[in-house]
Parts: sequence; C-alpha cells; structure tokens
Amino acid sequence: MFIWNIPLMMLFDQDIIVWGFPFFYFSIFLSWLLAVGIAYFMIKRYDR
Amino acid sequence: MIDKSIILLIILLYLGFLFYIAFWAEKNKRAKVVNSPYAYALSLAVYCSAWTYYGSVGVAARNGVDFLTIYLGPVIASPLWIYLLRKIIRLSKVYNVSSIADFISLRYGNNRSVGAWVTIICALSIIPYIALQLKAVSESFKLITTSSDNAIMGEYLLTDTTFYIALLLAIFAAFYGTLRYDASQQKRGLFFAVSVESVIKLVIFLIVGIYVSFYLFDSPASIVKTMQKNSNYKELTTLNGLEAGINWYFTLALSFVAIFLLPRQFQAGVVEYQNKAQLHNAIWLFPLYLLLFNIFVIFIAYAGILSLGRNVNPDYFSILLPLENGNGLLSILVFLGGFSAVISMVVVSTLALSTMLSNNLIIPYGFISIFQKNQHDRNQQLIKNIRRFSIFGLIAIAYILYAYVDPQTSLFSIGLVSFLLIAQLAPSFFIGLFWNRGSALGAKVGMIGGAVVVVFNYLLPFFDQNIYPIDPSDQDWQISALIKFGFLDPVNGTFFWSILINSFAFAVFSLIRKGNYRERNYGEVFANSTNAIPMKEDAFVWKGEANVDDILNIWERFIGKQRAKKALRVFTKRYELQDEKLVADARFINFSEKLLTGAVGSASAKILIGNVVKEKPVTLVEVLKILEENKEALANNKQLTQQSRELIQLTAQLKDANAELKQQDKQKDDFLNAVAHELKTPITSIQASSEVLQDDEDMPDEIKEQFLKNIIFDTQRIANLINDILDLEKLASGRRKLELTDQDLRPAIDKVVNSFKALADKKEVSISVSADNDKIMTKFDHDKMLQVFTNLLSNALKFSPEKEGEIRIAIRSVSEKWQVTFSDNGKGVPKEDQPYIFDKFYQSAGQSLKKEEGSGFGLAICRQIIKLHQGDIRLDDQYEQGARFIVELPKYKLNGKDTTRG
Repeated sequence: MFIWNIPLMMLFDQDIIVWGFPFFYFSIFLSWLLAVGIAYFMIKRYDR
Repeated sequence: MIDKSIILLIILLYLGFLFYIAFWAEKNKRAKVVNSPYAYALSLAVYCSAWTYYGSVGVAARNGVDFLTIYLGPVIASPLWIYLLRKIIRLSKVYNVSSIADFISLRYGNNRSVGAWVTIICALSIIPYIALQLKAVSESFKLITTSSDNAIMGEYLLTDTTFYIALLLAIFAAFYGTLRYDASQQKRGLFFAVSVESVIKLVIFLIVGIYVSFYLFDSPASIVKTMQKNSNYKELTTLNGLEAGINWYFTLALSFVAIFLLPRQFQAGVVEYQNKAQLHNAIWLFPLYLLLFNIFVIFIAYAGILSLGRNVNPDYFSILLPLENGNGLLSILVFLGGFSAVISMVVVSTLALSTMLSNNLIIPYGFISIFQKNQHDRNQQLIKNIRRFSIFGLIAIAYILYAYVDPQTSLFSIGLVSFLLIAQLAPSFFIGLFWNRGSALGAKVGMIGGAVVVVFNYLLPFFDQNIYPIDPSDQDWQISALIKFGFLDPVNGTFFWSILINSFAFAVFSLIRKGNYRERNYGEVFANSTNAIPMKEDAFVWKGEANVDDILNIWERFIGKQRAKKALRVFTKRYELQDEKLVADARFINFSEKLLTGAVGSASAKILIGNVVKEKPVTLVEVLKILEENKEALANNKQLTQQSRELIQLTAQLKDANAELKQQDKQKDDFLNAVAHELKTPITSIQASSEVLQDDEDMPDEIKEQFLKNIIFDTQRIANLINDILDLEKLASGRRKLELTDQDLRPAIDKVVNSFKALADKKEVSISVSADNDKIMTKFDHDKMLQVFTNLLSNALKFSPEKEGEIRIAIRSVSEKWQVTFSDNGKGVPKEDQPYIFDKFYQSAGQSLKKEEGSGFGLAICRQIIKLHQGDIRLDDQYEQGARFIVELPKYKLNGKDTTRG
C-alpha cells in the first residue's frame, strides 16, 4: 500500500517508454520485482 | 478453425490427465513433491482464473492499467501473511475449521445465522464467478472451433458443449472433493492437481506472450512504439489523473481484501495448510507467479488492438492472435491454458462453497435430525451426499446464469461483482480478529447492509438492465443521490459505500447490543489468540449439566466407534484423566464441538451438543473472570514447569560437580600414593645402603664406593622428583612465570637434537629435522621449551628400536600456528593408555621398560608448559607406525610483521 500509493504513483504517470515498457508499467513491474526479492531475502534470513 | 471433435477429445484427455494426477497424489499423499512448499504456493494460484487468463488482456485493451489492481492487492497482502494469515491458520487448525463461513460463525460463538449469511453472500458472489468461467470456456471454444453452440435453455441444452464441460467439472469436484466426510481434512490429490495446472496455465500464457512479442512482432518495444501512434495510447498506459488514480487505488484495496476472503483462497491457503515452510515460500513465490502472469498482458493487448482492431472482444486476443496468424496448435494450447484456469477455479470454488452450504445452511437448517444413532457410516455418507448435491446444484445454477449473461459483458466486470460481494465479509472478518466486542448481531447487520448496497447498486443493474436501464460503465451512473460519490466509478463507489455502511453497522450494533457470553468468549480467543491457543479447551467457558455417555454417543454417530475411542484417548491423555472419572465439563464440551466441527460445521456441532446438555447462562463478567483465572493458571503452570526444569538442571549440575570433586579427591589420593611410592623406593634403597655401611666397617673400599654411589643416585632421584613436583605445582598455579621472548624455534630444536646425538649414535637411531620455513619466529621461554623438546625426544629415543630406529622432527606452518611433530617408529602408545599419557605419574601397564630416571611427571609438565604458551600438545591417535606427538604454538605478530616470514 505504501509503495503503490497515489501521490507516488502519479510521479510515474508519464508518457515515456523504458526498455519497451510504458513508464507506468515499468515502475510497477520493477517495484513488484523488488518486493518479491526483498520478501525472498527476508524470509530466507528469518528462516535461518 | 479447428474441428470441434478434436477439441472435445483434447478436453477429455486433459481432464483424464488431471484425474490421474489427483489420483496419483491422493495415493502418494506422503510423497515429498505432493507436500512440497512449492505445491502449496502454486495451489494459491487458483486465484488466477479465466478472469486473469482472458480478462486481464481485455481490460488492458479497454481500460489500460486497471487490470493490475487485481494482482497488486494480493502482492501487498502477501507480506502480511506472516502475521495475519498465520493467526487465521492457527485458529482454524485448533478449531477444525473447514471454510470461511465456519471461521466467521465460530468467531461469533458458533452462531448459526452468521454462518448462514456468510454462506449466502459467498454463494451470491461465487455463482456469477463460476458462470464467468463457463462463459470463458464457451466463448473460447466457439472461437477455435466451427461450433455454433448456443446456451439458451431448452431445446439446445443437450447440444451445448459447455453443458457437458460443466457436468465433467461437477463430477471431478464431487469425486475428489468429497473423499472424506471431514471437510477440515486436507485434499492433497485435488490440490496437487491444482498446483500442476497452475504451472500449465502460466507456461502456456508465457508461450503466447513470447509468440506475440517476438514472433508476430519484432519485440515488445516495437509493439509499444507502433501502439504510440494509436489515439488512445496515453489512456491505456497511464493512470489518467488523480481521480482515476483514486479509483485505481480503491480497486486495489478491493482485491487486497478478496485474497483473504474468497472461499477458494481460504480453502487453498488455510484448510490445505500444513507447515510454516509452505507459508514462507508462498510469501515470495505467489507474488512472483502473479508478476510472470502479468508481464506479457499489455503486449498481447496492444498486439490485439493493432492486428485485430476493436471489433472483436479483446478478452480473447490471446486466442485470436495465433488463430488469425494460422497457428492453430498454439490456439489449442491457449484454449487449454484457459480451460485449465477454469477447471481449478470451478472445482475449488464449488468444493469450498458446497462445504459451506452443507455445514452452515443445509445441515443446521433442517437436516440435523436425519443423522441416526449407531449409523456413522450412513451418516458420513449422508454428509458426503449433501456436499455432492451442493456441488451439482451450484454448477447447475451457474450454468443457468451463464446462459443469460450477455456475451458482450466483459469478464472483468463479472469478476468485480464477485469481489464486491465477498468484500462484505471484511468488517466481521478482519475487525472480528482483533476487536473482542464485535457481536454476531453487528456482523449480520453489517454484512446484510453492505450486501444490499452491492445488490441494488451494482448487481441488479448489471444482470437486468430492464430494472435499471442504465449502462454500468457510464461514469455518471449511480443509483441514488444519497450514495453518490463524485468521481468514484460504479464499482469503487459501491465498494466505498457498502464497506462504510457495513463497518458502521457492525460497530454500532456491536456496541448497542452486546453479544452473549459465547460470542464474547470467542471474541477473547480470536483477539488474544497468542494467549488463548495454548490454553486449548481451557479458553472455553461453559456451565451446565451433561452426561458424558450422551456426548460420546454423538461422537460415535458421526466419527464412528474407533475414531471416537482414539479421540477420547487424546483428550484423557491431554488432561491426565481416567475414563471412569471423566466429567462433562467446559473442556469436554469444547473438545466435542471441535471434534464435530470438521464433519458438520461449527454451528451444527454446537446444536448437536446443545441438544444433550443443559446449559446454564454465564454472565459476561463470569466469562472474563474464568478466562483470566484459566490464563493465570496456565501461566502459573508454565512457570512451575519452567522452575521444575531449572531445578532438574541445577540438580544435574550439582551431581556433575560432586562427581568432579570425587574425581579430584581420588586423583589427589592417587597422586599422594604415587609420590609416596616414588619416594619410598629410593629412600628404602638409601636406608639399606646406609645400614650396610654402618654395620660392616670392614667392607672393602670398592664396594663401599658402590654403596655411596647408590646413595647419591637415589638422593638425586628424590631431589629430581621433588623438583618436578614443585615445578609442576608452580606451573599449574601460575606462580612460575614464563620468560617469553621473540626468537627462532629452530635453534632450540637443533640444540636438543645435538644433545641427544651421541646417545642416538650409540643406539644407531637416526634423527632428522625438517622445516618448511627458514625462520620459525614465535614467543617462548627458551629453557622451558628445551625441557619440552628434551622430554619428547628422550621418550622417542627410549622407545625407538635399536639399529632400525628413526626419529623425525618436522616443523610446519598450519594456519595461525606453528606445528612441531615428533614421530618415531617404536611400538607406539597402546589405545587404552592414550587418554591418560599426559596425567601425572602415568606409566603404561604394558610399558616393559622401567624408567630409570625421571619421575613420571614428564608429559604432565610438558602439557603445562605448552598450555602456558597458549599452545597445545597431543598424541596423534591416527598415526600407526609408532608414536607421534604434536606440539602447536601460536604465531605472534612481531613488530607488525607476521612471524610466518620471520
């Protein structure tokens, strides 16, 4: 909820293309991937 | 177009394959792969139904970024699972919960009507959703075949392929979903098949994404660049302003609550849960799965707009793109992927809903009296049949609804109807988890109020535009000025108002009319689950009279004699009771209710037990008091257990200390005995020699001299022994300080070797010294180190065979230490003596060579000296050619330089 809040999302609401993705999609997918990575490392660390 | 019969054959083969997977997993339910955490995470992907498979592309092509909200909600929810879902799971497992209706009903004191309303709302929500799945199968089937099926009821029913598909799905769900009468038990076979199909649908969707992006077009970038020329490109790729952004955020919140509340997610995530590893894996794997599923959506959507235009339903771009480009095989694969998504959703949803219908509606409202005494097989069969009937009934209603759904209606819109309704469980579910005062009345009024808003504000206009002749997609569409909310679209406006009314009603009615003692009891248990769960049955308050046999009869009626006996054993063992002294107290009543909950649901369990007991009312104050007392008793018990554990540990430590003292005492005695013995021998010899000298004055001088020599030798021996004892004592007590200086170890070794050279030559024993460094710089006390090396070399020489003897001294650098080894080819140290050779007065039983000199303190002193050098001395017990002693000394930094290089 914090990452994908409206004011922050509005910053990415631009008509630009990054690596073939419209900028809004790019920002969402990138933060999504980061969230997965962080969750993965946190869980692995927590598990130990 | 592909021939209809080929597709039908593929459908049958695919279903057969899934049947086999489920059968195999059920048969091998202990197999590692079946219970793998990955299988659990993949089974959660039952969330991705035809709505995801086809609908996302449709939304991306029509409305742009909106489709992402449905997946970002669960992604946001997943980190919270570590606390929230775990709490839900723990409570569900303790109380044998088998559905979300059971869970909410239990929270409000096994309230029958709460369970029934939750079931009704879920049915209202899920049946259109199942209809949506059938619509997706039907539409996709029509697209790839030459079929002209029409689902209009009546004369065309038997010619409609979707009808047969629905029937097959019902058979699949009824077969694998009702193998056991206890719905709280896991259905490994079915859910393993769901995990497999999750992989299949994802892989196929990725294949079609790659095909469209890299085969039909040059790259994803080329699709987007071409799309930029399209008039509504900006609309499709941005949020389109703050107001649309707020709508976007609201839909995200809607999907956030749905991931917890959808019956199929509850079934897959809670009922099928087995261990912590599964949940931990799902927290990152499930969002990753969703990400992969969404990565190609926009490219397929844009490619569809560019290639097929806007005259076709964009929901089916993924199937039409390969079809229009002559790739029939890929179209079949896409159809199969979509069909796969439909199967899992329909099967798991109908299974979950059928459990809710049977346990929360059918059995408690009318069928509870049909279960007969001593007929547990028949009763279990009846429960299964009710669920099977429910499954067929649900799919039949969904089929009828599907027949009436306008083919042009988007999958996304139908899916949102479902989410809106299911969201009405949110206040009673989430708030009830943390607020102990939430009451059954508040929950019911809230749920019904919210559901009414959804039905009148969105559902009726959606399905029958004759009642509300308006277009739901029209931004200005609202049913009344009272609940109009400016810029929110119909879905989000309805969501906002329904949840607001729902939560408000829940809070107000809970505060105005307090729930009964049971509601408050379970309110406490849910809100303070961390304390309540370990209390087990003690967390339950009950007063009344009951006969144990009556209750046991009910057990047997549902679970059979054998299982009832087993359960009774568990109960009596848990509370250390004897069967004959068993009383029907609060613990026994609660245990009984939990036992029956899996089979007939929490509400029916309460009714069944309630029929054979005389319950006395308990006031709220009493409930809180008893709970507090039980909690304190549990805490005291825990404390006592802890103290008892500590006492046991202390006793063990005292025993060890005592044993050590005894050992030291014995060692002291042994030491004194040994010293006395060692002193006695030379003293006796001195005494005898002196007496002879005194008595025989005429003794020849030569003999006299010999006696005197003996006296001197024995005196020297006594002096050596006393010196050694004093030396060892000084070293052990720390009174003898070492004179440590930085110096080379090699000359010290050479000096010792040279001193033994003559003796070694005489015995024809060779001594060699090797070192892997020129200088062996370390800090040591020169004299003491000479004493150690002398002792070791003297022992080696003593035990080396004459003429063939070979002694090797090697100096090596090992990590942060210098290692000096003394190896000989003598007979070695017997295994049994090895642990004691560094003890004082050690003398091997097998040692044939009696020491002429020395005191038996040699190695003990060596050990003490090396210990004071922070080093180590030991016998290499792996060396078999003779004896090998290893001395290790630490390297020290010398003026900032490593001593390795000298």
